[in-house]
Amino acid sequence: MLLIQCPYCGPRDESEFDYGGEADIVRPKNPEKLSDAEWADYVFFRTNTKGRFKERWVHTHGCGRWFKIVRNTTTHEHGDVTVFGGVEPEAE
Amino acid sequence: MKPEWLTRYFTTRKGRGCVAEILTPSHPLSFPSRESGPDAACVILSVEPPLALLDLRCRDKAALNAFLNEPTGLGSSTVAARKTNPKASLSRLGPDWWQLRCHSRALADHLLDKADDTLVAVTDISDAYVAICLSGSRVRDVLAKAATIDLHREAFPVDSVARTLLGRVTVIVTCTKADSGGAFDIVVSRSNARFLWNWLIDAAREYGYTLKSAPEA
Repeated sequence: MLLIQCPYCGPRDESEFDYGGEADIVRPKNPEKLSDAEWADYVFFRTNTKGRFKERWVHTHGCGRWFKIVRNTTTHEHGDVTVFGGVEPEAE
Repeated sequence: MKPEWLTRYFTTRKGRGCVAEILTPSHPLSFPSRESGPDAACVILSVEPPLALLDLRCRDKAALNAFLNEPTGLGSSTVAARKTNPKASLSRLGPDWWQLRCHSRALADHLLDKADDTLVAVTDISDAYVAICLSGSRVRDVLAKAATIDLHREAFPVDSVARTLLGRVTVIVTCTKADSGGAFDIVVSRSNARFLWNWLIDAAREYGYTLKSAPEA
């Protein structure tokens, strides 16, 4: 079980979050020009990193916000949290 | 005889922008008051009167403060904190998400009337939620059995708020008092309220509990 650092709520139990998969997958700008293989690569294929991996999480049972986090898939150490939409956490 | 708030709860209420509705005379927590267990003062569970609860969403904190300041005297706080006064309590659940618990229905209706003139998205969610109040000397022990957050008095002092999981149910927990073990408000959706109520009774059984103010069936 992980203790995930929500950028807005602080450290919370993993059960409050949902996983959003690999971060920074950019939708192709001209999908009609892609081959089937390229489209399949965008839709289905993800890197299977051993080590530091940037991924998305959503604090479903908390503030409801999405954010990105870098997690070590071997040790589960995580950090480098970034937020979406420019809604930065306020200083306490 | 039914208390005044219970009678009002079951009568037709018309609000601006709302379809008039008649609520069925069934409260999800209609249990008779009773005491049980080794020490009935260890955990006291009570059902709060129906809520006047507004959901507020806004990216512009200044607009929110302008919207709330005159009618309630409240302004935004940091995330996971509550501000309260005799008129209302304002809990901040996220960077652009607040819930205002008005202590009178008239105040909630007044704010709904003002909602067209502001950038704040105001939604009346009163009828979707039920509030349970827990207090007593062992209340933190009971909540610790299911909460996914640290509810120790130093980690979760008075006026702390958390939207979190309790017994696998999404709830909003607020610490309202620090003395004699503390007191907590738990706001839970009506559909999960009975499950959570029974869960809390089960969790409190080993210490003893008192059920208070439960509306009669």
